[in-house]
Amino acid sequence: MSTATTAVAYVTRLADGETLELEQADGVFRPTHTSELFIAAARKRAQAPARILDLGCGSGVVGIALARLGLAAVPVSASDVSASAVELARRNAARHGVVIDARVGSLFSPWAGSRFTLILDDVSGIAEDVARLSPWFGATIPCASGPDGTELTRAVLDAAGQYLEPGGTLFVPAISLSHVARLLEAARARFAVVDKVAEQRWPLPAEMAPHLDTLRAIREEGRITFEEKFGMVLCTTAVYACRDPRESMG
Amino acid sequence: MNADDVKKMIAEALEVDAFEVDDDASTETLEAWDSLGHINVLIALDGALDGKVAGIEGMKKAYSVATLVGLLREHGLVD
Repeated sequence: MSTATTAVAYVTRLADGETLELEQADGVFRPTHTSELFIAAARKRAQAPARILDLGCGSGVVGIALARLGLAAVPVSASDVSASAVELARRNAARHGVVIDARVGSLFSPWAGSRFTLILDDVSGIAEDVARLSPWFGATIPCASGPDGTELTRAVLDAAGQYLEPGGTLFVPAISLSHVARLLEAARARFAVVDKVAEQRWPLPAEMAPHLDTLRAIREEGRITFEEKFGMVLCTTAVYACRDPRESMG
Repeated sequence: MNADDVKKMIAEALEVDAFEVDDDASTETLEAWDSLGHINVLIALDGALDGKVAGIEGMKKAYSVATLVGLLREHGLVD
């Protein structure tokens, strides 16, 4: 399959002025604050090159960045439900000299029998109807995160224990455009240790401003949260490190 | 709180060394003071000043130490 490439590349800062430039493609999720937070959180936590899985890899930004920072053992494992995304991740990895094992499939389905030191869950994590109002998903990028945005992440939490090495860590994002309390409840039911390791507030994209009344109504329902202060609408993304999976993962 | 406290708080919010945030510091001089960094600065100041910063008009675009301190001073929040 050939993927149409957009003219605009994505650039993220790594360290000391070093940047990582990635090709982007139509129909593939463009990296956001969540990917940036994952990279920052992993940099704080990872001690040595780890066997990592970039789950919901999109363009491959997280795995490639961690490999370039010397924090990921190679090959970097990465998967996405979108074949176009996997193709793009392979291309971006090759461009940066990173050996990648990129596979197409939903959640953990491509990784039966594998174990990882670090799993980074970057699957869709905002309420589905909010996603459709956003500039991130549009009509073509898959988003089956459910009405409160937690369905995919809860599925990851349910299964992750089977894919973590002993002492391994699962990083999950908690985005305020989802039901964060429900997500954390699920995390604590599955893992003995759930620590917030990074957090960033960010402004609601201008494209969503016309939908503010709809978003307020969804907030009233308790499915999402956001703040209105400093003349801005502020959302929050936090990254949680989950360790010590509990027995009986179901 | 005085201007030096504000500068110290800006440095912490931006995760830069304190000496980098001098009287002339702004979004033009500090790479870390980007749009997300600015939100971190506002949140930090608002937290330290009991939520009195959130409603001040102009904070959203107060992209320098001088402007921030000036606005806070106007509202009696900084000596």
